Amino acid sequence: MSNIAELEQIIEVHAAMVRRIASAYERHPDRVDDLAQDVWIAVWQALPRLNDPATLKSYIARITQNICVTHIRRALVRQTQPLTGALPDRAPPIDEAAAHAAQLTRLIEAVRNLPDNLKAVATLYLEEMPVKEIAVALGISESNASVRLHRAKSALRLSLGDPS
Amino acid sequence: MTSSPQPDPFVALWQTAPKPDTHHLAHDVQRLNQLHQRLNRSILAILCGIAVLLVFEEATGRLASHGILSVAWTLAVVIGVARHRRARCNRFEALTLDTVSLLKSMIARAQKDLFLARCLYAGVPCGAVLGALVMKLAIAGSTPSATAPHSRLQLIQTGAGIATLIIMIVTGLILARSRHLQVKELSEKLKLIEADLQPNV
Repeated sequence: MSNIAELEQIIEVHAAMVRRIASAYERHPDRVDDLAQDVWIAVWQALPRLNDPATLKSYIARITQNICVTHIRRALVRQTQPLTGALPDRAPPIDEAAAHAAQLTRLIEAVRNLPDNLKAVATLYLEEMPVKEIAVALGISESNASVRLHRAKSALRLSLGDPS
Repeated sequence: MTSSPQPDPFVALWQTAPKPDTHHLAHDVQRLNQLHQRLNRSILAILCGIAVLLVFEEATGRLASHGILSVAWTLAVVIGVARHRRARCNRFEALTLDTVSLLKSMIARAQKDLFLARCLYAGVPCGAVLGALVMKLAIAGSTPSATAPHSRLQLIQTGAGIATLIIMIVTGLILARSRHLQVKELSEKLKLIEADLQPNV
């Protein structure tokens, strides 16, 4: 098993990515923390089996994705909040930082509300993974991943408009 | 003239999410791992303690099973530990699979667990009734001195046996319910993904 210093370094670099993916699957911050902790325990234990350190980012993204997908079944039982109408209000924000934060919150909420099959593709795409790698990570064909990505982007544009 | 491709605004926005506080995360992970290992060791110590107790009871002649019970118990513990270790390794290896393969392997594991849980809540009472019948038949065929009651000790043993049976049945029922739900939800998820894999989509 790798040592704690190595894990600390990896967490420092990839913690933000793990949290972003986890927050696409869970709304409550405590549950997002629980998910992230599950991911890091798994990463720590799976790390000695990593053959190519260059692929560490996609390796962690894949583990996070898989833990989030299998986690959702427990969340389904507990979830009481309706998914529809959960997007924050589009009212004009006070300043630029607040506007940016509001836009980000709305993006996370929009990704969270995507159907599972689109959400998986969307989160990995937003983590800058190429379509080919997304297809491999999910076990689907590249063309299918492209179709899903196109649908996910359309759904996001429909809920958010163009953020640029 | 060449220009770099315009980055997707969604990706750019997504990447600006604030960085989480990871100050104690590595140590929390290490602590959780140690707690988990400690729990496993405690359970193993309890199981080994029961094995020693069985050996002692059989050696002193208080249990007339001639070593069969302690050997069976020790064998079950050894097999259980080996299977647990293998399942743990497989669980972490499975996390690096693709999502479709992971879902398939999880469904297969949940179905296996469901079968074991059903064996636990249905098989245990059947086994207990069968065991009681066999004991009755054995007692009927033995000499009167062997059937002499041991008063309180026998009562305690019977009570403990019944309590263990009830615990096993309840555990089996709870496990079966959760695994049934798991199989259902995972199958639905897999169906959704596979339906989307049709070429006309």
